[in-house]
Amino acid sequence: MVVEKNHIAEVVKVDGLDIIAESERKSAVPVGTLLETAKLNKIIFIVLDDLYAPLTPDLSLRAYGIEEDKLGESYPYIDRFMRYFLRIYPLAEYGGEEQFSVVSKSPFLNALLYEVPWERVVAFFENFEVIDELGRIDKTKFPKRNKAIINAIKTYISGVEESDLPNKKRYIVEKLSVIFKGDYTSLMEIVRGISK
Amino acid sequence: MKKNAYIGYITGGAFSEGLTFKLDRHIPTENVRIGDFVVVEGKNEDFLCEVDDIRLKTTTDEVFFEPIEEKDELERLAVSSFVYSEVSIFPYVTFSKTDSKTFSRSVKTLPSHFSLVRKANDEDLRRLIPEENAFYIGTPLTTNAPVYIDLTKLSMRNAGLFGITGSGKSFLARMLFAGLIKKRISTLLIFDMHNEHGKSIIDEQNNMLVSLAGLFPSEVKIYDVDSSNEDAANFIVIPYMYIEPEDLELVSDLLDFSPKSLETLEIVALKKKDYMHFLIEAYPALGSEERDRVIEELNVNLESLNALSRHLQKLKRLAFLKDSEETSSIDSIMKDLSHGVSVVVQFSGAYKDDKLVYYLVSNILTRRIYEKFSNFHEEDKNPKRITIAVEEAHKFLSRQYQMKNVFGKIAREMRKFNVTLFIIDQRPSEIDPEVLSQIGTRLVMELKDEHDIEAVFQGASHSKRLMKLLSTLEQGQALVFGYAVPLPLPVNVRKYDRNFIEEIRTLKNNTNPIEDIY
Repeated sequence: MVVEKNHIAEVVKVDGLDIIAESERKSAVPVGTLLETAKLNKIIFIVLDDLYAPLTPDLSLRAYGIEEDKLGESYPYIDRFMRYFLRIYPLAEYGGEEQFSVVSKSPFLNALLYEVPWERVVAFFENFEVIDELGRIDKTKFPKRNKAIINAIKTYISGVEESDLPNKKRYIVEKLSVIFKGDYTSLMEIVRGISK
Repeated sequence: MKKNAYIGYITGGAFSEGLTFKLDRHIPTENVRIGDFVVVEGKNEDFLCEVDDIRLKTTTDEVFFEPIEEKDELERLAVSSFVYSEVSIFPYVTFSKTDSKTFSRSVKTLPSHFSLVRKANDEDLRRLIPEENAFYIGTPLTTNAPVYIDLTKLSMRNAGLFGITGSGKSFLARMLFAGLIKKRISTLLIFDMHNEHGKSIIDEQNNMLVSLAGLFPSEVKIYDVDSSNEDAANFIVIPYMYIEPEDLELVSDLLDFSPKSLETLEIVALKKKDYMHFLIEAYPALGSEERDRVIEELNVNLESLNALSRHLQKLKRLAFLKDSEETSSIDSIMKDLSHGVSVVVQFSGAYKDDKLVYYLVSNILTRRIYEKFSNFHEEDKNPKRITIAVEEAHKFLSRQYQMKNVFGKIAREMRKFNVTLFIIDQRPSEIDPEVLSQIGTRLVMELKDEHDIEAVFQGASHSKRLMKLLSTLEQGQALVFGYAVPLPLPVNVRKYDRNFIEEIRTLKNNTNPIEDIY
């Protein structure tokens, strides 16, 4: 099997909406990053959290007996013994040519995940149906949800022409105000987050 | 209808309480005003409603603990899902959706949830009153669509125009009078206390404008109590014999009568046919012995009779009162009214703003007209409609006087003889409630006094709603409700100006005047 070099993570656990992917890079992937599977229909995920786990069960960083920030200096290959996971959430299926639909299937185990190109991020955010999925993410299960949404939206508006930016912001806020009509605190956190 | 013309959708309601709609988030609450006309588009009918109330609502109290930065457009937009405006409206009439030529009907059902709401347009307001009866009196409070009143219905029952001084009563009254004359709906007898309905008037900008007699030279005649009025076609002459105790009782406060004087007056009037001549002319000339004889004959108190005669000397200054039986101008007025010529009775020169003269003359003339018309019309199969317009009406129609007074009788009884009152007053609370209940159409302008406001809505349906509406009105605006309009109409009264005059004049030369007004 040919493994593509630019993939970011690999799905390692699927249990309903509890989906874990392991990052190949062993370096932080920001929450809000949008990832997608390679095959049609691609599933688009949002990264909602990340976690490190030691390769050896019960091994904690403290077990090395040195301070955390100096661990890398003393043990340059430490990450080889750590596993870095991403908690991801399926937002939509992509059928090509900007055809998005709600998720109807689970990803395959070991499916490889790639960063969603910006053009598709734009297409995603401008699709009325699938953007609603952001509001269905349970904040109690995914405490960084709001931060993730802020980052995802910032990605969306990052490439927008300066002249078109106010319109795009208005559009997305209007949409969010409907999606989060039952959660004022989250909405204002997100709106203030993307205003900065 | 473009989608963006809608301002909200129905969220609830009850037949007795009216409807509520959620205002579209893009429409500022300040763009909606109490009294605005809106149309709810139902499936089979459109419902013409009036805005009753506006409420600011939130879906959560969290908004108050973390308020938005008002100047931040995005935050304002975001919060719009949590804060919204709910508007209470009341449906008064419906229009058929299938037949656009039919007029309004009363409401018998309600539109369903999510029915769309839009502002009423010209076409909606036109469908309120059949075109041939409609008379353009102004515009709604926030739009420029014309609002109409049914002049035929206005003249069929008593009408009342109420408002404080300076609220614009005279201008509105003059417009309605012009409409009634122009459309030949009613012949008017106007007691013009402030000389505003004669040949010309000066408007607020100091422009000279023609008034009723100037506008309709062959259809309106001016009568005056003072012979100095050059515009007058005729002068009022009233013989003593036409004055009845009731007339003097009405002005007893202005003549400084005591209760004893009134009692004495009644006795003298009963026993002496020419009691006015006796009290004003003959009695003062009598010597003491003769006076004693008279006292014995009349069986009254000397002091009271002396006082009564003394008080009545005030009437000697009124040159139009004649101690003779010469032909009264009342006959001439009667003739004019019978021929469809409207009459404006003015009070010029020395009698300008003289309340004693105004009350006395109005009462005497109206009583004579009442007597003649009530007999006259019994045989007349097609009687002409007469509208008697009277200012300071509370004096004639107060609790104290209205039962005996001729205006009270007209208000209660004369509709069947096609004689109605058009009352103009600033103190409706002083008018007898029984008379107020006989007023078919009420035109209410700015009122301040609580009692007046309560009085004017007495017996009206939806009175609480109307009171709220009235409280929002300003100078030059009026709330019209009752028989002549299918729903309460808050209006910016159109100006009595050159445009209006021109419009009326153009109408005058048309062979089919009704068509020309539109």
